[in-house]
Amino acid sequence: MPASIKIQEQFGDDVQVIFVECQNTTKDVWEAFAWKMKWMGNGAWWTIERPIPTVGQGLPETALIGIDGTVLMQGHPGDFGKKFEEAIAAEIKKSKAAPAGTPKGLEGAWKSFNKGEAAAAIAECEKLNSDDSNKAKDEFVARLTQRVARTQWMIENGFLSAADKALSAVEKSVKGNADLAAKMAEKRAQLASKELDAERDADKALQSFVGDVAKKKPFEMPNVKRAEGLAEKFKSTKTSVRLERFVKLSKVDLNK
Amino acid sequence: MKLTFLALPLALVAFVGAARLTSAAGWVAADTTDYTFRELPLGSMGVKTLSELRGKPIVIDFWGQH
Repeated sequence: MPASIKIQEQFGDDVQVIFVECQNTTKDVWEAFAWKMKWMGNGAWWTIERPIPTVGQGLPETALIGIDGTVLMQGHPGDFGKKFEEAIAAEIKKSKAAPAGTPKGLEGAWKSFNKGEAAAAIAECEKLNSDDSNKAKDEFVARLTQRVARTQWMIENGFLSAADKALSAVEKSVKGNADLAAKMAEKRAQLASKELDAERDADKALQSFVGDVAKKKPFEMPNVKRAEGLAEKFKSTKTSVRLERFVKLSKVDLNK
Repeated sequence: MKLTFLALPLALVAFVGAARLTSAAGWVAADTTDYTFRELPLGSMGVKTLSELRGKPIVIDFWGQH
């Protein structure tokens, strides 16, 4: 198992692992390969686009981008040893604190925000009512708005369990702030609408399926049959397209 | 004379650049980065840019099947 899968599983939502396929293999082949190797189902991203250039002569190559967007380490993973994971842990620790250069009086607000207490952070900024605190408040609201925008994408694309999880976290965070709580209530109503019943059931079934098979032998016939059955049961949902994709991938010849 | 005049600053820039980018262990540190994906990465849940992940460390794993 690549160390990066372990990192994604170990640090969960505190870190984002992005796998970049670099050998021009077709998407069907590399996606099927990743399933077969039991690398799926953990929150990592998969792409063929290189968000930063590679620096080495061959694969594998790993890079760590810090919380401020700076590339901190890049090279052959074997050269890093424990230092790579230690650097990730240090960045996560930093991500829970106030950003560097934050005025002393606003450190508490940032700490609250990073702990998932956005309403308290915003209330503190309003109490301080300075240029700096207003800027911090704007930043908090912008970040929350971005998170809500992501839940909208999830709802529109049938990732309703993920939308529910993301929305619950924001709801908890803004509890006590009337404006933001009202916006959340609107979003919650959208997510709970009757129209999404079939999609909700389908996505729940798919999540359960992925949880069951991702770490075992995903493409064994009983699993493929189960995916086929679910795709049929939830026909015409967006989730059924993902299930059909799984079935298609199970039939891919990895040697091509 | 002209060549020497040009070569010296160029060599200096290259030296400073290399020193900044490569550590003794062969690791490389670069400038602040951002990137917008042309196609949404699988699993990204609608997130299209690295900047949307700001505040969270990112691990990029360049890989190939072979």
